Amino acid sequence: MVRRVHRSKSYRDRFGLHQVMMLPAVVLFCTFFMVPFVQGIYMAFTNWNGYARMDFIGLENFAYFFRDDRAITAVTNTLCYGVLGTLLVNVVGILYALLMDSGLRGVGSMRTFLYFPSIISPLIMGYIWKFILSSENGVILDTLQRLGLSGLYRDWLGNPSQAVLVIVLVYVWQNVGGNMIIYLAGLQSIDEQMLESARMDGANSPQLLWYIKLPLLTAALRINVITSIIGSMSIFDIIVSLTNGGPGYFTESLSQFIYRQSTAGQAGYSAAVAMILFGIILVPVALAFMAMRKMYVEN
Amino acid sequence: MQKKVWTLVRYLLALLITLIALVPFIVLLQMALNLPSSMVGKTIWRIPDFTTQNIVTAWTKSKLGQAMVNSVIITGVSVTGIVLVASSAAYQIARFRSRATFVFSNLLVFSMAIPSIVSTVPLYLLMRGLSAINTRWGMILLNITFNLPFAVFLMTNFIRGINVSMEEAAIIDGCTCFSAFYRVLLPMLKPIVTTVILLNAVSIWNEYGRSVFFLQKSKLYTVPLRISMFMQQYTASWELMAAGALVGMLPPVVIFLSFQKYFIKGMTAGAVKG
Repeated sequence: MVRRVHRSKSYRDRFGLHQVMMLPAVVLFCTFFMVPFVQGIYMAFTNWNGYARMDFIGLENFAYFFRDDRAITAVTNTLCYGVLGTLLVNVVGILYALLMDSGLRGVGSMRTFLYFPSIISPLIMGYIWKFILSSENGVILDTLQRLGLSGLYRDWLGNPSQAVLVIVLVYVWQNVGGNMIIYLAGLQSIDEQMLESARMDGANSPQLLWYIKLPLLTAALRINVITSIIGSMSIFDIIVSLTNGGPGYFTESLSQFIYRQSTAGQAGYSAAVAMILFGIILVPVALAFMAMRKMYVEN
Repeated sequence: MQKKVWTLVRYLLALLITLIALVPFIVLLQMALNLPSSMVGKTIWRIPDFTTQNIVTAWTKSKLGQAMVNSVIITGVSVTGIVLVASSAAYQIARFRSRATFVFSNLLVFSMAIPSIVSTVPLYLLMRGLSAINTRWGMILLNITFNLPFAVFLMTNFIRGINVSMEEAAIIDGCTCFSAFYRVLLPMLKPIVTTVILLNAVSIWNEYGRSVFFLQKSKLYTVPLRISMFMQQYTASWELMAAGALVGMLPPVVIFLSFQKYFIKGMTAGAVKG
């Protein structure tokens, strides 16, 4: 059809406006994305500190990276955020969407409320959760004391591995509503007749879920998994306000590490770490993409 | 009977997850509406004082109003730009396939896998070269660029789902391909345009990681930057932070509530049927 439009009008529209309509997007994208990205690749092989001379030092930044304990901690944390965050936000997101789609009456406003955490700044939500979890008059501590259960309180944010989990949970809490909306959109676009005919053939609800609904959620799953891999692995705001990387630097993500290095005059090194982050994110995204493309064909 | 119990269980679950989603907002309200003196001690389980003192203090002492104006300008212009630039690009990509549109649309998808922090340092240099640091227009151009890929992706999918025959008819009746876009196609894009507005307005309003880099003059602070200042001084003033946050979250809440009608529809056509 596109061809037909093209052919029939080509004599008049040879230099039509429609041929340059993506130009503004191309210009912006090349200027502010491609050019800095390519420069960053070059910068990663230099010892530049932000103002003085830039010397090419080969792979030294990358070699230093593997000796830098703080960087390795940031990598481990980023992987934790990525794996746990992606997994939880999608599993819980699907469960939420199934519940909201299960024919309960009057859940419209609940759906709105479930999306609410996604429209508030992650930075502010980090502060609020910090207050809730705080060991000084925090909401949880206060509540437990009222119930006479203050022995159950732990200073979760004070313990590195528990603080990492708290960050994952706050990330999930904030983003699950958005994922739910996309899964819900996927569920609602399923043809009712298909479900009906499966029911007539004697399929029960778990079978409907497993053999029809979940396979048809592949498109929603793909977009959600990919955006949540990227989102959870480049997590920044929540950590800034919740722990600021602490205790020590034990909850720092790679994004935060890069930010700190680049403001501390380590431009070359931070560019190198940025490339490493890029690689770390690209691998699971590419895998997810290929895995789900395959799933798509099989169905 | 069993069915009724199951329905009840599902209602209770729905109620529980709604509560989990809302607890921090209740805490936020408590902090914002209580006098600072009543916040000393264990006072979250009580009826708040309903004082406006914190809001007034936050507003007058910290130039929250100025921050709101900055955020409105930056968000408004960025979102308008995104809609214009992304919809026209999506039209060409969806309807006039060529090698160029193929390469560009794949580059955009690829770029979505790259967190924006990756190019921060060279981007800072570029912005310095353009004297765009500490300017609203610089921030706006960055917001447009970094939100383009997803917007183009959503809009391209949406346009591909619309039958081309209406545009063809318009073109046969003498429209240029461009006027077929803005007279015929654009009005049909309403669900996806509202979705893009909603997603981007909210995320740009709340954006912190880039602003903290490129807006260092306090005169240009956006709402999140301003609110973070309450927590960065020697003593954290929780009640002022909460009051600021309460005022600062009104615009995204209003935008969300007024646009949510189209949200699921837009998401279905733009993201799920891709």
